[in-house]
Amino acid sequence: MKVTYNWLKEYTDFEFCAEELVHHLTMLGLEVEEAQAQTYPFSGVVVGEVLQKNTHPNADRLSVCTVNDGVAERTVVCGAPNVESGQKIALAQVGASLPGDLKIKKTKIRGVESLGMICSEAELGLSARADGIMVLDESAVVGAGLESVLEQEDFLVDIDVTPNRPDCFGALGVAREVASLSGTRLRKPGIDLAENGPATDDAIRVTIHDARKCPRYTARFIDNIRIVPSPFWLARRLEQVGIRSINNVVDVTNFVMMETGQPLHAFDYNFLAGGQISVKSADAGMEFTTLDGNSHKLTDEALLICDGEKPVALAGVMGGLNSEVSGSTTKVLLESAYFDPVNIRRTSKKLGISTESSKRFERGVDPNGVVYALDRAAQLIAELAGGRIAAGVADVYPKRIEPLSISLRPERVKLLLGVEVPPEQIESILTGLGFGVARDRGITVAVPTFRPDITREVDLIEEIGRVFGYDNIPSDPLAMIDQMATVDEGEAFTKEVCSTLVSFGFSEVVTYNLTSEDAASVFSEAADPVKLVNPLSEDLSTLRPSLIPGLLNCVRWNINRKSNDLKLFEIGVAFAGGNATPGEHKRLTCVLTGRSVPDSWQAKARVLNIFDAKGFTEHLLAQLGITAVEFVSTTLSTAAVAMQASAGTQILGYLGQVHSEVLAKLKVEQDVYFIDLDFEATELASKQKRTFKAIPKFPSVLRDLALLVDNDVSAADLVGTVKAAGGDLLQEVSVFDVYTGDKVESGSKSIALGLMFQSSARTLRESEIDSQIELILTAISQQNGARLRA
Amino acid sequence: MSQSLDIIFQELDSVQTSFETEIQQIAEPDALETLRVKYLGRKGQVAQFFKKIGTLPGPDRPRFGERLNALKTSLQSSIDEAQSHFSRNNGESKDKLDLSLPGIAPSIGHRNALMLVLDEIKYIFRGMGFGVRTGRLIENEYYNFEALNVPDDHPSKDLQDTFYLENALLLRTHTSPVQIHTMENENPPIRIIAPGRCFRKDAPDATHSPEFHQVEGLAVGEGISLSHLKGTLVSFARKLFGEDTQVRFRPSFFPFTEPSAEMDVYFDDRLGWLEILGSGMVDPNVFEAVKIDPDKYTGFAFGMGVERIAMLKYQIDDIRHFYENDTRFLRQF
Repeated sequence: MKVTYNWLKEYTDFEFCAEELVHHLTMLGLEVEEAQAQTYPFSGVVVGEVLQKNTHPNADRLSVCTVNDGVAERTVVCGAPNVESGQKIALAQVGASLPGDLKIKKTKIRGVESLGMICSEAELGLSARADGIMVLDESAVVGAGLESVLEQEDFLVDIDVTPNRPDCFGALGVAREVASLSGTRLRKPGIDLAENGPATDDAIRVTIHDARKCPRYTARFIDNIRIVPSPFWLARRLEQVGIRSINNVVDVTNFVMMETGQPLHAFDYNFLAGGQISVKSADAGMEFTTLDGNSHKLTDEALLICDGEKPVALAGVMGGLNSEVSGSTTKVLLESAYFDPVNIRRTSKKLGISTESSKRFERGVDPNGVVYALDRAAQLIAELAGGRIAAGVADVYPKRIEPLSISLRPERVKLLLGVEVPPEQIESILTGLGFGVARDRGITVAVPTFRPDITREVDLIEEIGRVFGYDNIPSDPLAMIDQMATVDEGEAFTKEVCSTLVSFGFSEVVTYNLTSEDAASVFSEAADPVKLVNPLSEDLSTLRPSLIPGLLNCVRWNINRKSNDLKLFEIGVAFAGGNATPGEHKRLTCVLTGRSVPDSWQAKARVLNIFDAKGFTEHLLAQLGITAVEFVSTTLSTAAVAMQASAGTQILGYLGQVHSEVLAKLKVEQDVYFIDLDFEATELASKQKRTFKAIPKFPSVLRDLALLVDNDVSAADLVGTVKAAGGDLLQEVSVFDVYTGDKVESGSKSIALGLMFQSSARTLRESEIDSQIELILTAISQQNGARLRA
Repeated sequence: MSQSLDIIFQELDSVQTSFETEIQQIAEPDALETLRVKYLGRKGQVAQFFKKIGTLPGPDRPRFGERLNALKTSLQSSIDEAQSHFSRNNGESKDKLDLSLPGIAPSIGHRNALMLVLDEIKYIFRGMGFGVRTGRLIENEYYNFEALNVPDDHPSKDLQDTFYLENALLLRTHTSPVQIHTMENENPPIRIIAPGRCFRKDAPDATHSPEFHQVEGLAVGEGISLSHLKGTLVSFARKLFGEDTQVRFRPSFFPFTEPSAEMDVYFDDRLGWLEILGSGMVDPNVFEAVKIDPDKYTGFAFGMGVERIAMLKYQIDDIRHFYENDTRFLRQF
């Protein structure tokens, strides 16, 4: 909602400067989106007087005028049809600058020298009017700057009116707020109508067929009008607030709407069959052409304004093309009504038409303010278009909407605001906002009907708080409560996960939950994807069944930008269960690709492989307190190689190498490994109690075994046998080398194991280790066919 | 002691002597490694002696073993000492080092800017006694709108365009549904924040993202007023943006709070006051929906966009950076 500083000043005598006004409006809850000084976009323009007008010797349509600019008489060539001698006009002198970077120079027009330009409002950037020069009042002083005869410079304020404040969709409503704050009176323009026309009842007859959708309809009839351009003040005011000036009658309806918040509509009476207005629901399927020329197919929800024969307006939204005011209009029927906000909103939404009118009706105009707006417009039309106003108002209002009465407890004000507001101040605040206040034992408040948002005591308390000033409410700390009740361990676990992965070189990413159906289908395995009914685009149409595609998108994005070594992770939700039973599963997912560390001048880094994925998994889980993790080979359609990680019977997740077909689909051209863990299962497994194990006081003994086994013997099996045969003293078994090649016989591989023996009670003797080694060698020979490498 | 054991012990002594002589000569790590392999390697001199255990008469074996182990330990510790000497005092060769060469980079990851801000917000509120609650991303109309006093046909629904799933399910447009779940499941006093992902049907551009993060907060108890809301949120703003931060509250409108307030923070003379969060006293209709007596309890709620705060805090100019995950962006946090 746009208003200007000067405009508000017409309704109340506040003392703020423009900047203060902006601040106060904002602090009242009328957030100012934009505030802008309205300076005139020209310079070097003075009041001139046309002394003489002659026809141009070489062009019939041009005039050669002699103009007094206060200093001298100048010859100016003018093309406007309305220039006459004796007029005071706006003269752009040589050197003047006009909007659009126009500089006025001495020039020759069809052979006649011209020293300046007589301007139209459009050329001056004051309005869109370009059909003739701007004619100034006779009292204008020749030679004075044009600024001196225009309204003083103004300040435009664009307010983001919250949806609960329909009253502030009119300048008067905004002025009321300003007045309440500054303690000044609101001056509504008075109504002084000359009802010098015929009786209204003879000209129009109004019937409401659906009083739910239209609780009140009022109209006036005005004849003998002359449609002409609006005077400068009106055109300028509308242009300032973003409305195009059309003609005097239409401009008045728009102006009164911007002033009061009540939308009005003027019908050309000559097109209204039988002088009748009947307000009724549309027939489903019927078509109606609004005055913007668009045709709409209606449902029976839409409300129509009809004459004796046909629909003439889509109620509250837009008038019809068939009854629009035009240059030849001489009689108008002026409508001011109250329509049901919900119905207007539905209609506007359904048809996709949002107008200044529908915006106001759907928020709720003042049902008891419709006649004021009607009278105000009628009066202005009579003034500006010379009409005769018919006597009386056609007013159909079957069930009067009464002001609400609410009782207010001062102690409740204190409880909610945290500050004591004295009853006198409560009263003055509410009165200033237009509320009726009766104070006896309690406070009873009558809510004016222009405030449909106020229905409860708490709403009144907000009004009091607003005007009292949020700045004047103290800041108090909350009392302490039992904080242990609110501690949650999940947070600590998440932090541990993140800090561990970051220490491993993984960076945390945030990707969309929404992905394309295509990407989702690759990863949904058996589960049905969860799809949106109304997606923004096909790319964001489906809820991700896995975090991997999003992470692969990050991989592609970065590889395309020459960043090829990536370790990324995300903690997020994956979806499963299809549209019937959509479920959410929290996952911790990592992808890794490229080199393990950056290359340096000392060493070239190696390329990551699946054992990096496994190692990161093992060490992450170990850091989280999950040490007994079992990895078994498994098959996933999206993985070239895959393992399942579990702790006891609990499956923790999967890791492996992303399948090349998946990479091709997501346009990633480099091997990528993944770790995809069930976050909650991992969290659960990590809750196993940790107990301290004493640090051994006695030295350990290390033994290495270089073994030869058949190729199909797995390292895990071999280590398992060693552990089982190693007895209590064997503390650790590590694989430190694996070799296949020409130094071992074909079909075999060499696996080197490092064994660590230790006792917590004593220093071990070599001989006991030797005999344990013997037992181990026997066991692996029997169970795994392993023998010592020569 | 048998004759042979005596001889072997002498041999061991000479091994020790020659080792000690040789280690004196060592000037660089590579040579030390060669020395280690010569004496302590798998086929080194000490290992050869271990093989002799079998050739000795039974009673001699323990003594021999003991002595041999002592030798092994002694040699090892001499090597270790020499090794640490090299690493501590590489002084002799420092003339040859070009210390202007770059250091060797460790592989280090980075937390996400959004998550860092989110953690900071959680940390601040935790300090004021707020616990953390999360909810589901898929909600229904009741929890996302109705229970929060957003009626079906109210224009405030214009403020949010919602992604719908089948069966009247939707992707939550704010984390406010967590308020409702918490008040349904817990009794006052309640003091929680609810961080998480939200969705609105906005096409991505520099300031809009169809997915974004919000932190919702709720305090319900006896005697909680707008002054407590102010006190709590001013503390929060000053912790997050600095102790001197200027904060103001201005009236606003949200269906789920009454009175409502938006909090602005004064950034600098160029940016002026910037909106940080929306807040207000819990609307009695919301209390009614969760069956909390609005005459007994009052409370306040607030909600803020994490992206917006992160953008202000780190001066990030485009919200899409958070979701592109360019490593040049990630590295900066």
